[in-house]
Amino acid sequence: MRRLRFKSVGSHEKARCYGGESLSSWCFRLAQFPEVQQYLLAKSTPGIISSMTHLSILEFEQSCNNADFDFIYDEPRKLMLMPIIGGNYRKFLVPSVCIQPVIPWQYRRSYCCSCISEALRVTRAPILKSSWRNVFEPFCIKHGELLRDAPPHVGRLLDGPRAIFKWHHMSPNECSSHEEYTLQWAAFLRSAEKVQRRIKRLLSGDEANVLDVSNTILALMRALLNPGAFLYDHLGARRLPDIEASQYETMNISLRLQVFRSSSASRARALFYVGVVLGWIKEKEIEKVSGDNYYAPKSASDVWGSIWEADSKVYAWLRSNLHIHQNNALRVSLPNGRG
Amino acid sequence: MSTHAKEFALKKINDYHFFGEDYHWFSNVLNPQSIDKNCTKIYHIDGLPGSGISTFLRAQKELLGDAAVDVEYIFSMNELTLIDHFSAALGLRSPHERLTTVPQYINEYIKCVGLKVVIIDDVDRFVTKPDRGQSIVKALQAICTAGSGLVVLYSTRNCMISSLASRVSVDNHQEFWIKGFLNAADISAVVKDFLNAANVICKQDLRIANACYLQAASGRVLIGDLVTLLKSVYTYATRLEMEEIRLENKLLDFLHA
Repeated sequence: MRRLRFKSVGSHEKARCYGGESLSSWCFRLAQFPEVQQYLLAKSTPGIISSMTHLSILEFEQSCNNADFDFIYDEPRKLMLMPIIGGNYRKFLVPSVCIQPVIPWQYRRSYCCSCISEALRVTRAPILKSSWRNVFEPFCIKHGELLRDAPPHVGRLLDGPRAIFKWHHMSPNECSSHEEYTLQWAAFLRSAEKVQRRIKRLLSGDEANVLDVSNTILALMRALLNPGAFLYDHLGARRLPDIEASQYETMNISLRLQVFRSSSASRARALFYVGVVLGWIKEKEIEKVSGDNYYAPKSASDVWGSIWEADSKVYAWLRSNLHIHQNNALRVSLPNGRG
Repeated sequence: MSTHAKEFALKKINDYHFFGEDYHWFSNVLNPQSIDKNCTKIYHIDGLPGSGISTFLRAQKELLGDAAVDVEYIFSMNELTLIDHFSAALGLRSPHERLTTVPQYINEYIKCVGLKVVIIDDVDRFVTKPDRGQSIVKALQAICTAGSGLVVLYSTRNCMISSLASRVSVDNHQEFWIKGFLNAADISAVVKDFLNAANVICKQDLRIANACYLQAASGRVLIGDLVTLLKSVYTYATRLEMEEIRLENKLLDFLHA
């Protein structure tokens, strides 16, 4: 009987999961419906998860050791979703987007304002898409725009979609600086977007190689974004700041975390140089699209050189990583005579 | 009971063109296609108690669908302003917010979703300051101009608020008086349907004497009065006051079916 009642809510257009919407965003929207609130309250007496059921599904998610229901298969997730969503829960149990690394909850902040505006007309509430948290996708898949970044304290809120929407319209300076940046680097960003599309094609290919391809690109991005590398403090990063490292963080931790903390602009630049290293972007194109930054690398060997100069240990780490993960789909070889 | 029954009564009444020309004129004013984007209006919906003001506002909400939003009261230990309630009705309010003006993000939201009409039934509920309704009128004006123009429908029993609103915004403010009277044909149709449904449920043969119809038709009857009368007849005949709500729901389901 209860499920039937919920179905009537679920069949409502505004309550449906919008295409590409993340589970956390959808759950937050659902929790705003009075019918769902009543259901959660009614469910709390003989509940399956007893003490947890007084929480909304999103709070529940937060209290479960920050488990991220969007991307991780988990037993509590099944338990929580099944009674609420009914038969539809199955589609959220398949970890379909885990092939590429995902930005963790506490660093989530990227969004596409065109997508939010489009979704608003249908859902009448701001949404977040799960693809905005994919590390290799700093551009919106639908609109091809560089994603914007809200401050981390806004993005990681429980009502993240709403908070990001509000922040976007309440801070015109940040928005104008983003527009300036995208205008100034339009050609550069177009090339980076091509790299993103090519990576996406590779990742949707043969399943046996997918994980190795993903690891190879992640290792390259980590090396390019590590503290000390030229991308860490590039022009775009100063305008659209990355999340700062904590005070006592070691180099090893920074190397692993920076790729999740960097802004979409930084990730886009990293993707561009990944394209350079892989030979997807030729030197002529680099010259054409790069600004007048004297220190920016002009060729693949320059990029390798900059990584080595930043930290020889990172260079060695990168070499061993590439050696482990290289395969037929993506083969990268470092120049000889270094490290 | 009364709200549901009134809604049903109003549906019947609409079929008989109860509101006459006024109703259709008003429907045209609120038609999303005919609303001028730059024209902001505040309508004070007024009428005698029980004449169906709340029902009329609900009917307008149903008529307009997604183009209208109904501002409802939220209980809070902290006194929330009318704009707080408006923001909550849009689903945009965070718990820590205290709004005195309409922020930019609400304007953008309204433009994106294409909201046209705001319905505020009994605006007195949102009074937080003993300032003779000044803050409420200010909030009404702020809501009216949000998102480059909205039509606001409000009802109030507080004369100070309505007179202040009409004085402050002379050009934008307009009153709409709901007559809310039933004529003989309406009364007989509504009562007949109601009794038919009640008789099926309680397996009795409730009737109203023709003399009563004639008496009612001689003077005009308010919707609220008629609903109260039917309710008392139904309760007396069935003597199931405790089960009243459940039965009435069944009754309404039957009527809608």
